[in-house]
Amino acid sequence: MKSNKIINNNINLENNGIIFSLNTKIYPQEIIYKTCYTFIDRMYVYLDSLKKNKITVSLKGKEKLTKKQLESLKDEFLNELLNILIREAVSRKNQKFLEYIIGGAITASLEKPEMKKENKKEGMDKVEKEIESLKKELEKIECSEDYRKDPLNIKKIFRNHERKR
Amino acid sequence: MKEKDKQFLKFHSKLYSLENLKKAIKDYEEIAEFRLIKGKDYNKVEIKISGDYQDENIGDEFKNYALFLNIRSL
Repeated sequence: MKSNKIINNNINLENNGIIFSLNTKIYPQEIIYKTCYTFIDRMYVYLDSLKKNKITVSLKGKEKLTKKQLESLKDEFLNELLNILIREAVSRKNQKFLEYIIGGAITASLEKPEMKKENKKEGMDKVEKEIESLKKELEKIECSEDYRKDPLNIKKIFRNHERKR
Repeated sequence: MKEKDKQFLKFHSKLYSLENLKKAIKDYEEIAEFRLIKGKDYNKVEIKISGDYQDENIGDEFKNYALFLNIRSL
């Protein structure tokens, strides 16, 4: 009677659950924990460690489940386990790049306003200097060569031209 | 008290920290009566369901909550 209820070694229909073992050398404890977290709202999850480097996962449905449903739950759990494992590995690999990018962004956001102010001030100083030098040049021209004096004798040339006409 | 109203749960000390078990018991103490039995490899929790709250899944709910506390404290 009992053997009928326990269809598989790891499926217990009477208990509405499935039990399977994971090797912690392949799937670290932290990864197993994180995977459990994604299942905890849908079912009862229980962990045990009967042997060294082995964690036994027990998934129990909150509602009555069939053998097929329990098996697919286990498959889903294993898929999620692999998914989290890969995601963790990738994020660990890219951590340096992320730190570099974020660090650079923070540094840039902190330094930019000051640099802008400096640049703006420098730019304004340059423009002011140029204006001053242009003013001085203009003053020199105005002082040294008065147009009313007509040093090139333009008035005379113009008058002669008019007479010839 | 019926035997059905009494549950024994065991928690592996490497997977469920004593601190989190104590916290879980504290959070559940209004629902049932708890007794923590400390051990080397396993810490055991005895639950006595009493009062108005009669839920046969209380043990499973407690296991889930204890696991959740351990995940949260990672």
